[in-house]
Amino acid sequence: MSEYDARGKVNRALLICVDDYRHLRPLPAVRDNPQELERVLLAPGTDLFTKGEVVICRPQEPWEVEQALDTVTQEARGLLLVYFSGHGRVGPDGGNLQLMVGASERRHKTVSWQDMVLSYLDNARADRIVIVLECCYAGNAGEAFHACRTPMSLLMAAQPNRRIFSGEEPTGGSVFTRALRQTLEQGIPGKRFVTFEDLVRELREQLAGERTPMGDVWEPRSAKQNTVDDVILSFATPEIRPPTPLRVRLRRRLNASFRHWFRILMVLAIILVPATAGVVLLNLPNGTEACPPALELRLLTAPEAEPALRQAAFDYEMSDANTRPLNGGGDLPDGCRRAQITVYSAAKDQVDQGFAAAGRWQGEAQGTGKGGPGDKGIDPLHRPGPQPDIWIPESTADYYAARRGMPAKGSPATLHYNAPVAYTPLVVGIPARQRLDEVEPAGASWRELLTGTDRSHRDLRLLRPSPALSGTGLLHTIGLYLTHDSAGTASPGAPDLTLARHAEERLSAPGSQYAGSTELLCSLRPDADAAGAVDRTKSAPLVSEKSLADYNLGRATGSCPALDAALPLRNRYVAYYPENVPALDHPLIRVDWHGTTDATPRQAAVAGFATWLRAPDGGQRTLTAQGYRGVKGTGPGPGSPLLDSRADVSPVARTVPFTADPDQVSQVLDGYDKAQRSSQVLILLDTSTSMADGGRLPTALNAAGRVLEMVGARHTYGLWAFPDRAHPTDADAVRELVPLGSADPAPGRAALDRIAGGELVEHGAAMEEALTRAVRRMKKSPATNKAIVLILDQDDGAGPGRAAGVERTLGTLVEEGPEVPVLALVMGKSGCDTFALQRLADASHGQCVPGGPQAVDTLAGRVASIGTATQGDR
Amino acid sequence: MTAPRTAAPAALAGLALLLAMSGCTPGEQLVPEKGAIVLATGSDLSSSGVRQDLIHDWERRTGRTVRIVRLPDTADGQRSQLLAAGQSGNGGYDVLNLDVAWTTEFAEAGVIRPWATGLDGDFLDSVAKTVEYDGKVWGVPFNTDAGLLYYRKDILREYGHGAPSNWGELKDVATEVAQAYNRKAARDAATDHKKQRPTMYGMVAQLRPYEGLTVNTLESAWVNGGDPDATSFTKGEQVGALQQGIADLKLRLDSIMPHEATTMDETESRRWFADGRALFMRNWPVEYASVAEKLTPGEQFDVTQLPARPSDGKRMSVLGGQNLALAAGSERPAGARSLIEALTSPGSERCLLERGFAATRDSAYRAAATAPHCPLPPDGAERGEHGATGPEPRPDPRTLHEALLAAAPRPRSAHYQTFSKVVQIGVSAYLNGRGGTAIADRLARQADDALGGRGEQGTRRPADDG
Repeated sequence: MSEYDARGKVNRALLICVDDYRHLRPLPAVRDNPQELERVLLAPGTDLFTKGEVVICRPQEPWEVEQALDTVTQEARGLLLVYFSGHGRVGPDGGNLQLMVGASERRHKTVSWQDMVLSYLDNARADRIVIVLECCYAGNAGEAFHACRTPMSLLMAAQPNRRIFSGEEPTGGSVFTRALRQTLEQGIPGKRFVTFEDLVRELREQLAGERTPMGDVWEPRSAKQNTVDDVILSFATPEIRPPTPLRVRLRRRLNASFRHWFRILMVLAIILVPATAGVVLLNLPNGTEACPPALELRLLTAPEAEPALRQAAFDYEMSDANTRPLNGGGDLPDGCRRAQITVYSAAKDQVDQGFAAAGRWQGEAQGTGKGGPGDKGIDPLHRPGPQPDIWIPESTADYYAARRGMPAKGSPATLHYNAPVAYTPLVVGIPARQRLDEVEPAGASWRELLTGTDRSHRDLRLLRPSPALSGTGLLHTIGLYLTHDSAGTASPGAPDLTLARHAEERLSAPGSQYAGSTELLCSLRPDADAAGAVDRTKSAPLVSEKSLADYNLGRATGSCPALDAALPLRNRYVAYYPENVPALDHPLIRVDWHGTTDATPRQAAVAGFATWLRAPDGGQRTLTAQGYRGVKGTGPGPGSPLLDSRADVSPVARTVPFTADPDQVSQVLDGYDKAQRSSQVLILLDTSTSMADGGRLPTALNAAGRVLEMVGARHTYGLWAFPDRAHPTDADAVRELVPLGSADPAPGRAALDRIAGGELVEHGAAMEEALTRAVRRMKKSPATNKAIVLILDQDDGAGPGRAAGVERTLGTLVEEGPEVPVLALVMGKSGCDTFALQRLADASHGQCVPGGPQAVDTLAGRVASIGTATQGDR
Repeated sequence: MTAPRTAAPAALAGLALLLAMSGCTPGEQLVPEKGAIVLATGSDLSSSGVRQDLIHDWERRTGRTVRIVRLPDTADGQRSQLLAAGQSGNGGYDVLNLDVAWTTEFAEAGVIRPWATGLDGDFLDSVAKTVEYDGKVWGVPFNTDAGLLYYRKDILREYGHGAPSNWGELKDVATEVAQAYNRKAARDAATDHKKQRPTMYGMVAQLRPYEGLTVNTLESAWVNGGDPDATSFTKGEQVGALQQGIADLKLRLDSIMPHEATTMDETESRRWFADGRALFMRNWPVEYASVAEKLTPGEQFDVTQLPARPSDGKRMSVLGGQNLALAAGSERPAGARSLIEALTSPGSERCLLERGFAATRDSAYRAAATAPHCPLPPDGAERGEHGATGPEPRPDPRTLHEALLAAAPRPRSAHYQTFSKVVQIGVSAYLNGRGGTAIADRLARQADDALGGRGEQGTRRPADDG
């Protein structure tokens, strides 16, 4: 038999040893095996492996074994020796040997002998492969081994089905490896070298006296495959050893210098290749060129639609559509985004005011401060905010209303009506436990709904977002006024004033109006702040299908965060669809500003977005997923939250398009104005220095400023501050900053600016005294609808020298007629939780609103309700 | 930006403008500048306080006037208006008060002009980075900010703990102490028959989908090996930092934060902490005074730098604050320049520090004797930023200084805004438990696309995953 001599070839020895196991017994005996074996393999006497050819692997994870196997099988050309020492496991039938690594568990994270080790070895490029397995059940490895095609010799530490480790072996190397090492290091007497067969024989002899932990004889086994040769594993010999042949020494030197040069070449390549690539990259045309900032588009919408449009705008920004060239947009590198869109929102009245004062809007943006004659005191750049390029109101009616307020000519802003982008029908939410008898939810007439909810039936309080502040509120009002009970078609002609008056009477109580539908619904949520909450079971909100679905499904609604799940049935509202009422249609309106230098690309960018927004595979997908109905008029599509039964909406209900013309909208607005009485508000503002703490002052001033925005010829106001700067110690003194009955918001704004600038009084504020004066004054006012807006830090309570019975006097006063509701906004830490404030709100038929993110809007909604108060409680 | 804005007086105005523009370098004015300097800013600067006082001081000394244009009150709105107006030649401002994250985009878009003389060495290195781009300086740091860890000193001490040194420790301490505290509260309530105190949570932070969420995400990614200077999250050592950071954030949310944290901004999180409903809070120094209204500073609560990253003990925070920049279309560049220099002088920066802002100059943090002198009269000092009497309680300037030195700017890219939107939408979805970890992987890719200014690669190259 010839012997394979691997000397001078590229050889590898991979020594895999695992002694520390996370889930199995440790094997301290194995710990020293690899170093000792490496020392032997590299010893001059062994004369087979050279420095760098022995690799030690102590794997924790199976992939480490795989990686090591991959490397050595790729590198070895002569002899490849693979040695494993550690735990082994087999299946119940004794097959499927698994080698265990550090992280191995019983049947998880193991190294399969057959599937991993043998498959790598079978693809090795080495001439000969020798495997040494020292593990329990090593003897079971022979079977799978016979399927291999490369020449391999396998040494198994013991016979099949034997464990060889108990785990209690001492450190310092295992019995088997010690014997192995000894043979390879010392050689066999009378032999010039140690071959694989010699080694097997020698080990059997040495281990003949040993016993396996199972108590039986210990007999190493071997197997060979695809070879009849023997393989030399060591040239150690106790006899006189012949010198290493010259050709072997030369080849070894060549290998070493090759490695050396190879390393130098690699280092050079690592330096040079990226440098060259860098030069190439820098000089590449397009493709990798940096993208300039995209064209910034400003999108103004209503608070209700903001989250959905924000998502849609983002999807567009990142879409393919946004990387296509724009008309007149100049040449951008390939794939660059063309437009970016910032979405923001404002209340309807603020948007109307902004467009009406577009001159001022533009003037502030240009830094000139110029504006139209009537624009004084209006700050459109601050609110609504940026000059929009795109305006998406809730409905076409909002667009008509804004147009109505704009000057006929000379405005720097022109509005271009494009097309609706998303629909949502208007609904009346009826508490799920109080469904209306014999009324069909998917198509009830307004008359039926009004009857079904009235005092003699379900006795529900209709809650509507303010038509002045919200597009939903406006369209609901139009729906009410324009629907003829019997006609059955969308309604041309004049408003039905009888029905309208009847409805307004039902809607016209303080607190029945809200700034917007999300704010309304948020106040109805079971988790809402108790101070702002209303009786859910006695309420019927007039909102849109989308916002009601969001509410029922427990999604984020206004300042109310998303809940973990849909609301339980008892807290939900069922959507009733008043017949023939047009749906919110969210038209896209392009706004052009005079003097814009990039008008062409800007308009093209708006057009690109508008097209995408209406495309079925573009914006429609985003918007319908948010709960809107698409522009193609086929009910909600797959994935729409409207299809969730817990949304309690009727997907079959019809989407009625908006058909009213601008004149009809004007008539309704006029009718609404007429239905409203003139009103008067007295703002009573706490200006003690404690207001400046904790950022309360800006909120307080914002709230007061918001009230001023609603002032006009028929809605007058006064602004008082307490304590009085001139008489800081006089508890009774209030400072009349703007006299009651004023219709011009400008002096009010100027006064608020002065307070912001530091006109505060360092003295405890005597709220009761100031309020007593205010109530006395308001009782004398000839106005029919009036209220006091009290904005205070907190009730500072009785000070020294305070007149006795102040509280009692005030208490009696507010209860006497005529009614003057006190709407209190309390900024202090205890909020509305004090008895005095609660009682005050109840006794005056007013309300107490605690400071918080929604406070300004809540207060605005209540103030908007003042003018509508006509019929007592309901 | 230099084109005249109205057609009517185009010829004359254009000529005058051209003359003014050609003499834009300081000291080389051809024609004397006319009119007030127009300063565009968010509302926080337009009402009152030390920054307003510094402007008045400059007006008094130079005899010129400053007209403040009040921009939208949200940062997004301010950026959108300034950028769009600049792009369409509509902004007639001289000085822009810009958020530090916008410098690169505004420079690239040609809305601001370079600051010709560069910055002196007194500005903090980390802060100076926020105005540097493309080898140029684009403005002067006005006021800065770094995130701090607010903690309930009293309660932690009661249970034998101090401020945690790293994020892992924070989580452990928060879990342990909140549990023990709530158990005790329940026992006390049972024995005293009183209303139970609100549940104490481990931590609150800003996780509502807005810029604050991007800030918290970046800080978490940096703690997990992310490099603040890197502009990619899918290359080299950056791989996994963002994913790991987000996973950490969610783990913290699920283990020690209330669910409401996903709707919190700076104010709302401060409210929870000040109301005694959280042991720890990540927030800016500006909330210190508001917390101090309800909790005693130094006793009930204190602040320290954000916890360190475990690998190298480095503490990192995102740098906030504002820079003053010259508008590209300014017709009064010399005056604008003089105003910016005055507002950011060593003396002014010292004023800012004394009145509760984080100053951008090193010298401002020196001991009182050696620090530059604040030129404002002391009576202004009594008024404070919001007109309150007496100095407001503030964090220790040394803690603030250290936090600033270790802070880093957000990724400086012309497409930062889109990047931030990507992060907000992706992280928010992940935190709310929709979509699982696949979101985190996709997010890193999307973040790269966003920073590069390109559309989503995945949709353009379907073979991406192949």
